[in-house]
Amino acid sequence: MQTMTDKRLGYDDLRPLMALQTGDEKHDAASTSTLDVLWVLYDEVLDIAAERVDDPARDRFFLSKGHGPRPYYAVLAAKGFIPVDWLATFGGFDSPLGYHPDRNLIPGVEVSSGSLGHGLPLAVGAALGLRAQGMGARVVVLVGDAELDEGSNAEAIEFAAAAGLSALTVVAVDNSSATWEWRGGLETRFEVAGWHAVRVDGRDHTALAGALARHTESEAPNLVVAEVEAAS
Amino acid sequence: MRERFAATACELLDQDRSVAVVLADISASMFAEAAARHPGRVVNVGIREQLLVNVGAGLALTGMRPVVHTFAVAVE
Repeated sequence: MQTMTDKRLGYDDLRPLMALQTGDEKHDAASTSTLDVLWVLYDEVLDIAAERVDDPARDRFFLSKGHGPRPYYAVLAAKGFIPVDWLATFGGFDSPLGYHPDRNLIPGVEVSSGSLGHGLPLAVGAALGLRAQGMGARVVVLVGDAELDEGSNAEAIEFAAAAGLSALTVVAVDNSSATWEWRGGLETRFEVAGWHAVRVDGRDHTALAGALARHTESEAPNLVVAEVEAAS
Repeated sequence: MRERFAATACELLDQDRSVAVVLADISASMFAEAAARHPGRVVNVGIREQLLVNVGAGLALTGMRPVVHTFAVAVE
């Protein structure tokens, strides 16, 4: 492992960085499900950097599934958005790193999340705003499969395709945690509305990077279902 | 009151390129001309009040100044 003071750390450093954050063990399953998706997004996909957190042209990443944020904080630390020293303060009274991310306290965090079902409709608004201003930046939002139970997503899914929001990508981390399974897989809900949808192994970095790469051949927004082991 | 609101909001759209108006079908016809003048800055999401509010918030996150409009009873 590289030293913890190195501003740019690698994938192998993420689990040690997660281990520095204690006190929220009940969300271990929710945390580790997103680890590989988050890493691939920040390492290979998104056009963002610690030095450009206020650049209007940056890509936007919204973590809608705000519970279990330890891998998110680990990736932000590995990529230099926040100091590694912050991680051990996780959940503390004075810590910027709460059990749900706060956009006003953490550099690089675009939305405060935790109340499920808001990330996707917020991302629709952000995609509209960027398009209206002539900026070509992408908006990528991470949701959980059970989070799609929230009805607010249904409103956003239908509208995003109708509005031709090709800059919008939803990555749904599917750990089969929905109490009532979506028949035919959750991607069918997007496809019937006109989205481009693929399902990949949520632990396979090459497959994730390929699926998350920008598609420019149509106006359809994109869904990537990242399938991981079921939550226990 | 609605006529005055629509006229004022349309003036703001003409004056300030950061202003956007978000609608959920209510009053959409009153913004048809403004929508033609300012494509992308008048957004009608249909009868979707949850989306209406979140789209306004998302627009604001990109630096725009959204005006979100519907009848109060529709978002209670």
